[in-house]
Amino acid sequence: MKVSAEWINKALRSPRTVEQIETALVATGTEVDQVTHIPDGIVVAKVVSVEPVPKSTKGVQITQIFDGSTTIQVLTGAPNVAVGQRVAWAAPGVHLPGWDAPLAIRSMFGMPSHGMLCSEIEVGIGTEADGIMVLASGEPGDPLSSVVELPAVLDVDVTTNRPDLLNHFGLASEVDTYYGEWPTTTSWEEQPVALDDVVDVHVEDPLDTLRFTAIVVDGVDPTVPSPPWMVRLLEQVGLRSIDPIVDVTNYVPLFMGQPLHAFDALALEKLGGSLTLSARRARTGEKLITLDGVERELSPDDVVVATGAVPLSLAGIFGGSESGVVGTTRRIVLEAATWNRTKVRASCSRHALRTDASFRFDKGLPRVMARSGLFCALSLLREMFPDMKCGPVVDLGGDGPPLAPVVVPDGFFSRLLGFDVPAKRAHDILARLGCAVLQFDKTIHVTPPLIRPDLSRPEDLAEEVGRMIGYGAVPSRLPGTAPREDALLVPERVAKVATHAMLGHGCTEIITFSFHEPGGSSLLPGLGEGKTVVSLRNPMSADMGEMRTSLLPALAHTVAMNQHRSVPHISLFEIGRVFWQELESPVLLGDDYVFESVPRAPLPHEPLIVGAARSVEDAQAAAGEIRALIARFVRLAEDLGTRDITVVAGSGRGLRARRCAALMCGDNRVGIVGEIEASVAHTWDIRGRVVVGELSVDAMMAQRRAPLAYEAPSKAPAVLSDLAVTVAMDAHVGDALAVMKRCGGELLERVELYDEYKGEPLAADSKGWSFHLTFRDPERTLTREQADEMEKSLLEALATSVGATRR
Amino acid sequence: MSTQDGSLTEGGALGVSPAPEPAAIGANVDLHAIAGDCLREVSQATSPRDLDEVVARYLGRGDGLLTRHRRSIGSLSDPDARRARGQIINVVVGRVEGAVAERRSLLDEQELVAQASHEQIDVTWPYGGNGGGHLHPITRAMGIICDLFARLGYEEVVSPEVEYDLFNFTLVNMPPGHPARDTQANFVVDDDRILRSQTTPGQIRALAARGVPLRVIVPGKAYRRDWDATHFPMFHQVEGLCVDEGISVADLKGTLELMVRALFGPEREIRLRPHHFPFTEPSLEVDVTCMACDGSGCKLCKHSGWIELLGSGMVHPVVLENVGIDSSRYSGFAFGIGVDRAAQLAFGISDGRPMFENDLRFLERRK
Repeated sequence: MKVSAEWINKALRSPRTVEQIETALVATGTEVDQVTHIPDGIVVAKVVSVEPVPKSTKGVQITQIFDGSTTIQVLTGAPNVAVGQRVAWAAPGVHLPGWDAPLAIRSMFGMPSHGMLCSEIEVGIGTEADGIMVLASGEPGDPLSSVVELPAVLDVDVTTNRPDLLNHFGLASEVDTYYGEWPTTTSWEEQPVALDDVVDVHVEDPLDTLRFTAIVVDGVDPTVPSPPWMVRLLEQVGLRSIDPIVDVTNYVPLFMGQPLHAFDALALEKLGGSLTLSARRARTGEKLITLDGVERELSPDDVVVATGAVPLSLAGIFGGSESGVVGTTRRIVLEAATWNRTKVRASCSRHALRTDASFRFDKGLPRVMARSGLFCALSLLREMFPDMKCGPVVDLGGDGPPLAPVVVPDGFFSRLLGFDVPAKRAHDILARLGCAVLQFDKTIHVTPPLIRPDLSRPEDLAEEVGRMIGYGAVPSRLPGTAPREDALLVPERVAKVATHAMLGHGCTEIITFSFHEPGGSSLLPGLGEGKTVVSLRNPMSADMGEMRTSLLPALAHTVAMNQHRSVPHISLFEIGRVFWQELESPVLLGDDYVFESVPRAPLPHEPLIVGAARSVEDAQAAAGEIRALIARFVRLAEDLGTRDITVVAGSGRGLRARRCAALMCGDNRVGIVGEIEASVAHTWDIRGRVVVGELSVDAMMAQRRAPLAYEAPSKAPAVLSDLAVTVAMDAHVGDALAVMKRCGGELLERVELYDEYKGEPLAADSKGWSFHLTFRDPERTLTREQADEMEKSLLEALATSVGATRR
Repeated sequence: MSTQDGSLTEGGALGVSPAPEPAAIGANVDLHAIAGDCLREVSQATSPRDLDEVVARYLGRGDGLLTRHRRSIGSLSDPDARRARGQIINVVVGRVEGAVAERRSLLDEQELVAQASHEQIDVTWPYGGNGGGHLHPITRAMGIICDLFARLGYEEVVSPEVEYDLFNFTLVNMPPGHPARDTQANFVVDDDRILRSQTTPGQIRALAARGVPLRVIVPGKAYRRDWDATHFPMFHQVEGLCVDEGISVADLKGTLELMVRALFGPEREIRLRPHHFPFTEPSLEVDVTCMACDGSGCKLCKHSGWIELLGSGMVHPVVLENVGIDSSRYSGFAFGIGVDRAAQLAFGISDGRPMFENDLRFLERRK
């Protein structure tokens, strides 16, 4: 919202500079985004000489100017510069509004140029950018601000809980209070009743229309101009003067906050047959042409002001075109009402409208403002039209009940704010903010003014006290209580352990959006295969309508994107949640607490997944990476405390057959590793081969963590031997190793597959495996004969289980 | 008897030295002459293997020439001649063995030098990405924050990303009709469920589950329907909450000062500014002295010296009461920091757009 410093000063107890106003507003909680005023350092200068730069094709000229003390050279591209002009010169070091850096001495065409000659737009005065400003008065060296009037305008951001600050008067009260002044209280006098005309007002629902005040005024004239001071203040905040009636209805909300509406009384009588206004819901099928000329279909959820069956305005939002003030208007009905904020907001979004009035009403204006707004408008009109006559004020709804006193225990402000707040200081601040403060034995009772319904709790009052004293007074402290034991005993963050494992695997972390296009994971569903997806009702765009069920599609797309940007060696991982809708909600923090109204729809399961992707050269490199990723995942599972992960041959849509592994934890598939199928890679524009995998770390955390245990190594000597066998081509070495471990028991310390051989002299449907075996009896020295016995029984076990024969 | 100059360093004459003819073994053979040949050959050996051959030829256990001469002594009948011959052979063998040892140490050393030159590696070879992967800057910033609060005894809790409207809004004091509940601003799953627009519902879940006193942080993703140069539909937050008897704005300030310094350096200062959030009262915006100009004013801080960093405040009594906590006895502070922006500020990322593009040239800081 734009506010004028001059206007705020009009409402201030003591005048303040723009900087003082800005400081006070920022310190009390109103953000100031931008301040427009003539920057310091721009002075009047006289042009002494002008000559063209010979080399310039754009008409740049060399000017010598006199700034009151010395002659300075400035190069300018302005076509209108001429000897003898008074110009606005910004010296080096001046920071112009909207510029990134202060001006400097520049070199142009090999000549130094000091600062610049300014156009209107550069100074922030106007919109003229084609030539430099030529001043009518001022002596060289005078500050520009003493010659040219540029009103200081602040762009402020009022927080949503303070609709009482959406006007100059409210902001001035904050500034006064901040500087320890008593804010001015303005009340506008009731006008004498000199007219019999009364508006017949009907309010259909006092919950829609909290207050409705109206008055008939005769003897106004829209054809006379508004007073210059009003025109100036309106222009400062960007409003054009239209006629005195419209100007007053624009001025009052900006000045004290209450929006108003003026009807042409004659038009009302014509449309409704008599001077009647009703505040009611629109009827189905009713239409209204608003002042912007748009015909709007009304809904029974819209509140309108109507006369008889004719809707005149969308309540609190926009007037209609049929009942507005026109040049011939001499008699008006002035309305000031308080509307239900929720209804206003709903109508605004239904009609895609935002107006200065709705901007205030949808924050919830206090009712007390309506009547004083009406009187404020009347007193302004009286200044312009001393002979005007007013009818009696109709007021339905009233101020409403007084606000309940807030009971504040002694010492509460100091306890909550963390520094000593003397009671006297707190009372003083609250009183200046308009509160009535009563001191009792152990408490104070604070009754806020009617315009501050937001003050309903001791904490609200603490905020008032805190912000007016300034939070700079708060010391720094760390909470002294001991942390909870259960918070200290949690294991290391799962995500952190997983992250470091994947960094160690040489992968770089990516973060992708949690949503993708509908069906986006169907080609490569990963662990989410067969899971029900969660869809969004209002996605950012159509291709972001579904929550991911797997990390693999985004990883694959990221590989492709990087390939297209010619990035070599792509190796990625992501750790994030995926979304699987099940029939039952997962067990969630705090869900055993009884909330009466917890909805029944189950929340999706959101397992934490580690996903990885690496682009590789060829089939052999892919095989190596598949094995390496399996090893990394199993080791990660172990680090997280799960020791019974088994790796089995698996399959997954979008992954090459017979090159895919499933990581099992009991009966649950907790991980999948494989190579993207050529057709999927082709569809997604991926070049070469890509190995992907994902592991659900949450699934492992759900298992009991196996306690970590270490064992002292045996000092007895080992017997080493090698075993070579021939097996069928499709045999899995995992099966062989499991059998050998089971059969070898504790004497078989270690088995290592060190070679797999295919080809001559073996048959085409078989392959050979060579194992290093380490036998050791932890208690005593094992003999060669014992080891040979063991080896024989291992061979027998292999023969039965995987059909192995000794080679 | 001629003496042989045993100087090995001179190496002796080059060229093919005739191997000694299989000489007759007997008392009349000149052992010094044999030794002379041997010493010459030792001095001419150019590798440990050459040397081994020479040693084997003269001193080999079975048929080394000198060994055979020593063995033949036994066949002399005259004890005096035996003794004299034995002494000579001991002297000769001693000299040969000394020369061999000296030559061997020289050759070993030469071989090490040769090996070193042969196996030399260029350590300036580009090492590429073999040092491991890179963390995403958001995770880096998240880690700094989470690690700090872990040290301060805060429990890190997980709260769902698809959340009930009730937890995301109503229970954090944003009842139906609140402007922020606008469906245009949030992602809706159905009438009850949305993508959480903030990590604040985690406060409610933690308070309900753990009771008071309580210290938790809720790190994670949140979602809003907003996408431009500085906003993304998905972003990261860390929510912090500390509730106990006697918690005040001073505790909030001390804690957030630590976090700001952990993220942006020990010289940073903070400023608390009044603001408004539905779930806190008083509400405080936290500004930090600009990390680009140390507060002297620059483009980053719009010449104010301060950077707006995060929202915080004292937990609204309604929020405590919504989960059955006595707000007249307990108070607490809460904050929520946008991690993506914190990461940008901490690591000098002036343009936020690459943050979710996942271009490895950015993430791996490749040039």
